[in-house]
Amino acid sequence: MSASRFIHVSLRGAMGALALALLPATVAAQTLNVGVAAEPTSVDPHFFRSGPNISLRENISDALVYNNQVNGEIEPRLATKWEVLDDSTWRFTLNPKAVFADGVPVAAADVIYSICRVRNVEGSPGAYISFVETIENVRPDGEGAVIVETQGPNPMLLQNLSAIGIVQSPSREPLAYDRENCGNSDWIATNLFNNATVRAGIGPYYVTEYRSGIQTVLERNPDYYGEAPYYERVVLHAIPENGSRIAALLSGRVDVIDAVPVNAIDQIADNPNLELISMPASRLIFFAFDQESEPTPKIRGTNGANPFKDVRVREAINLAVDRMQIVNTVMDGIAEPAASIVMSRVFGHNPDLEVLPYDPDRARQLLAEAGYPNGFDLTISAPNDRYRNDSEVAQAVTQMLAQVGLNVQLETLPQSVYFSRASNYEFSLFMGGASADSGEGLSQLLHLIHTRDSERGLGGSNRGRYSSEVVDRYLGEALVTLDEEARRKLLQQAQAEVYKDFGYLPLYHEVAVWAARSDIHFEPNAAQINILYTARPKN
Amino acid sequence: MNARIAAFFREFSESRIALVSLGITLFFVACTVLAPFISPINPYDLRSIRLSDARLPPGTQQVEPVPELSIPLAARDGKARAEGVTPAGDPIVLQLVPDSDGRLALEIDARNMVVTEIRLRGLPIDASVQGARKHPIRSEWTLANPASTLHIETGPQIPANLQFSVLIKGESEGTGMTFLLGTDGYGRDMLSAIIYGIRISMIVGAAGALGAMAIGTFLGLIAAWFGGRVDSFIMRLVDFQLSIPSLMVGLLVLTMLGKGVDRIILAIILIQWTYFARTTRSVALAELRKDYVDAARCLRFSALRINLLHILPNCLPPLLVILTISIAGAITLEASLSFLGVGLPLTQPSLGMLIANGYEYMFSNMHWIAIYPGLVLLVMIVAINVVGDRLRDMFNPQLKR
Repeated sequence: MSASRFIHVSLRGAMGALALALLPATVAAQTLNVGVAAEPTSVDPHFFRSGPNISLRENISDALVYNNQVNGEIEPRLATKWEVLDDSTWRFTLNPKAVFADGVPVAAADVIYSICRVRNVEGSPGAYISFVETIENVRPDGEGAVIVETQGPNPMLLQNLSAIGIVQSPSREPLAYDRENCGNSDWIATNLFNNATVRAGIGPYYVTEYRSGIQTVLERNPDYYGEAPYYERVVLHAIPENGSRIAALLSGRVDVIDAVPVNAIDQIADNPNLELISMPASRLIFFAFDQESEPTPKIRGTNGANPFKDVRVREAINLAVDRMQIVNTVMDGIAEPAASIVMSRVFGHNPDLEVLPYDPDRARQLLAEAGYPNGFDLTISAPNDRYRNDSEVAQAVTQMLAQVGLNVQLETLPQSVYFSRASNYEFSLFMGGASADSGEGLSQLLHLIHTRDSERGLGGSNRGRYSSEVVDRYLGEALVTLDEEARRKLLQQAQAEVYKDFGYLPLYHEVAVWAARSDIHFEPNAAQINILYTARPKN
Repeated sequence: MNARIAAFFREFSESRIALVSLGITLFFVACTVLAPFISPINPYDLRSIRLSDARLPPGTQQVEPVPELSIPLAARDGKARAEGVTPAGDPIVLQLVPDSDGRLALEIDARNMVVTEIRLRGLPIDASVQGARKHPIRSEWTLANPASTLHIETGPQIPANLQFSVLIKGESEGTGMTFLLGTDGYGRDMLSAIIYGIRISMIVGAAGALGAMAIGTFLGLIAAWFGGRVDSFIMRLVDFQLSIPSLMVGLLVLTMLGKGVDRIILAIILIQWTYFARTTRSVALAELRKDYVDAARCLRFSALRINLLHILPNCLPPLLVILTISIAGAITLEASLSFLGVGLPLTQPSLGMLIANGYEYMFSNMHWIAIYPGLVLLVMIVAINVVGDRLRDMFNPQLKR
């Protein structure tokens, strides 16, 4: 074989190999790999109201309406339009083009079934109930329309409904709505959503595989009524470890990561192939005080008393923490120190409240006044894989509390056990996070500072059981006030009350940061939801 | 006896590397014992750690934290004037004026105060500050050792209304403490943290290996002495245990019992007793056949006496070799478990946890947080292993001249 022929043949071979190599590459380009810090705990859209689950639901299970948290607008989804018939009656027209996996369009029966199912999910922590709390009745209204009646006027109905994914009712007949089980005993088991037997409703994507701790695979829904997403497949890789998540992005194993760790920001900013995408988020990171149990589980050396029942101790702890220092050092400036619960860009923010000063001397004095001049033994608890830098922040708080004379230990736990233990009231001073997931302050406040009432779905995140009649009254009133200014005032008053009671130890509001390959367009979101269906390559 | 130890040591030091390794091992033992006296600070005392010292590179002097002066500026058509008071009580005047090139000039008259750092926060997105570094996310420009006049570029036109705040940091006093190996993300002195980390690792390693040796040797002697069913039972237990990866056993024990030094030691004993049991049994079986054991039996010595005074001493040489290697193994195991976050409490780091903390900073060019504890762990384990190897060579008759 002559040399030139040899070259020719090998060139041909190489071209063929190249073509073969390109083929899977173009297919691969249709897949978006996302590295997520916290994975959803379930595919069930009504199971657990937590960031990762809400984030998944947004992509796989449309609600009646969509709450655009960037501009605060309510946009149509399964309902093409809605009208307010009177103060407490709303009529929603359903989109006839929105069809379930079997080709059947969404109907009033599905809406009733889904709203009713919220109260009937087995093993659910029940936190979604507050969204349907004020709904008195849901009934069909002719072909393709549904009427929702609320208990008195509810200004937040659209925001509330935007959180409830609509799943397909197994029976064609509409249930008769009531506040318990709608006369039905056959509810779709959470497990069926998780193993992809039943689709979680109508969405741009649907889940084909959910493997806890590994990945969630989403496939494009070909029958979707709205704009088709660009990527055919999206794989959510669960990479809770910060270093590994960054490594996955740098090595190209994933295209986008969420919750970019603070330590890696500089490196990503300097990398021309990567881009940072950020938006101030509404999530408040706080520590909650156990204000109910006596003795409280993680405190020793107080003769069985719970010091957190004393407002002076709560004030002391609030003054002992240097929020500015935590934000500047541990969070590297990627957070805003918090004065109260609702952040400045969200409806209901109270601008009169100032970030509490750092005053360790006053803190020591208050502790002494409360009868603890030598402090007490305290173990504080925090998750280590839920919020950005959670265990680092917790350790910083531990140091600061040690400096005012408390004997502090820190325990950190993975979120899989942390939240169930927090809900069992096994902690005394413990970290949490809550965002305004409906886009305004009321839901965040109801979730966090209303007296805990699981029956009515109130105070779902109030695991420290802060309780104030005044706050409950303000929030109860806000729930039925349609006038915006009056409602804003009520929310502000409620927060001023918690501020005065030192009911929480608010630390900071997060700034949501994603990092993506710079040739990918990825939409940021104040609720820290991963919106996958608008992701696409930049032209 | 002394002559024998001297001869033993002479033979040991025929290998230079082993001698050096022995020296290093003894140095780490000394660290373990003397940690509270040689470490610059006590890293477990949370009161002595300040967040303001976080992430300082090696060799940095600790300084007293100085309060930052924040002065808001509200400019109309690029003109503004604001005043503040320095910590010493002197007035400080800021003046913003448009200069000839369409830029804004910020003049800072700080009198006696030495300004070490200025930050401008809240400038419009398209503005830039000459010579300053922008925060990758926030609208914040930082300038170290600034001149008295800063230049702000605001694009083609100066905005009619401009609001931002100026944060000024003054000179701070040193406390006389130097962080030789830098500090970690919590402001903990790395050198102290490493010394205490060595201490925990050594204690856990030694206690775990010694505990495993006690239990393993005991069970090994029982198996050899009784033989038959007892022997089979103990040896199958060993086989069963060896079939489970050691890290898995460790994870299991720690997730069930929770974190803590005592529990890590327990996990190590549970994992490592098997090696000792096997070795003891095999050596003891060989010894049992020897004449001196028969002689002891004829003298009607008790089983306990024969085992402890006659057989055990003859089993010791190989056990000592396994002990040294087990210590190294136990330290590695503790480091792995701590790295995985199930080992020790966050506030009392061992070497493994320091490495895990440093791993977080792998992508932020702060090499000292991960590398130094990693190096120390590496050196420690290599040294102990080399000592163990040397001992094995010495006890191996086939290598004898």
